Amino acid sequence: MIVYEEEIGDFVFSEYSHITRPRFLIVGLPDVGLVGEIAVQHIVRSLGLSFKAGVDSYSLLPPVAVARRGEVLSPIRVYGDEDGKVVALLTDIALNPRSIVPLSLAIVEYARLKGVEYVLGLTGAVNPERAEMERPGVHWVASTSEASRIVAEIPEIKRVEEGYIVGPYATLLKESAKRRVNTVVLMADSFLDIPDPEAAAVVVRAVSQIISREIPVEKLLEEGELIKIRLKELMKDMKSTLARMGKGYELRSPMIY
Amino acid sequence: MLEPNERRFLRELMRRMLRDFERMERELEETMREFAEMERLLEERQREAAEGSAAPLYTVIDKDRELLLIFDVPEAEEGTLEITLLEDRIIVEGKVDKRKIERALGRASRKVERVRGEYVLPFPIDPQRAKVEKRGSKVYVRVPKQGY
Repeated sequence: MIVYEEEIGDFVFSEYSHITRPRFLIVGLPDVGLVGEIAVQHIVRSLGLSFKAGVDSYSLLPPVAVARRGEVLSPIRVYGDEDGKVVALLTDIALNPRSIVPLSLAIVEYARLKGVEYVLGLTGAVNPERAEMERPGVHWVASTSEASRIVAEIPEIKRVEEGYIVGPYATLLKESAKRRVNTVVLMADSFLDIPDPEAAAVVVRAVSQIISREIPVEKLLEEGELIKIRLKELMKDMKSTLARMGKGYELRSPMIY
Repeated sequence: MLEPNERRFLRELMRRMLRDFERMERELEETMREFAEMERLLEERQREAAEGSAAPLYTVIDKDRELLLIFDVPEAEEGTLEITLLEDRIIVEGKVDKRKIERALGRASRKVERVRGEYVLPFPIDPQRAKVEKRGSKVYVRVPKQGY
């Protein structure tokens, strides 16, 4: 039964269990290498997070319902832990370019309304040298100086000095900066259009340090091939969206004056 | 005869209407592209279901003088992959490891017998000088572009 509902733009957030002032909202939207998707799925499973809310839009998302053990779920869902400190948002479907900006705006506004202390966006950054890397690097960008404090002290992850970010996380960051929402986006070097569990694993390690919770990644790496089989069709759905959202910009050097 | 302020009002109204029409046209074009893409994916999935095949995911990296083609084939049975390189395309074929598919997707998943993909390359290549390497579930094909 729905206990609270919030309509933000074209999206409706329906809570089946109250979400109140969580410290962290971890966001995994389908993007480069499905890094965020894989990482958040792993975090939900490893921390034993339970279903809290569904997010839907009849005008911007395809008419999809997820059936699981005879129950109907929204394609975008929020999971949370027992003490309500960590919540995580993930999606089962590819987002079309028209829905990316409105959804990112809605997530930032929802985070603001719910009093989320930090939003952690997880994704991949296209790196043409990814094939030669043993272990991908992790980079961060923050919307506020307060947000940058939670990552600045972690030596394994590096601040992005210059570059472009394209896609849902670009909107997430810009809107967070405008609305003073503390958002950090963590990006691992990744393949563009092949699911990348190794990149997801390095991002999960970074999240583990930020939220001070143990999240083992051995299982994620062991099951990498099975995860890739499961996510293959989602990656195919995302391929044209990635091209249409202009991912090529991320490979360009920025013009800073 | 219209007054100057009425003319200004009408001009502004026309400008706004034109902007709205342009926005609607852009949205319509985007929707049409989405439909076309959904149709293409549906046709591809129907064809693959009828053939009992699955095309691997791939990425092409332009390395100036050569192309790096990466194919991800986690569902392929070890030792069954065959790569055929032609001047303008590459074909990847192999048998599927059914136990792995079942572990990943469950018993109710659609029947897939083989992995098969044929890809047109963005540049003509020199197939004789290709280097193929398999690492984990990925196949890396490095091949010089023609003339290099």
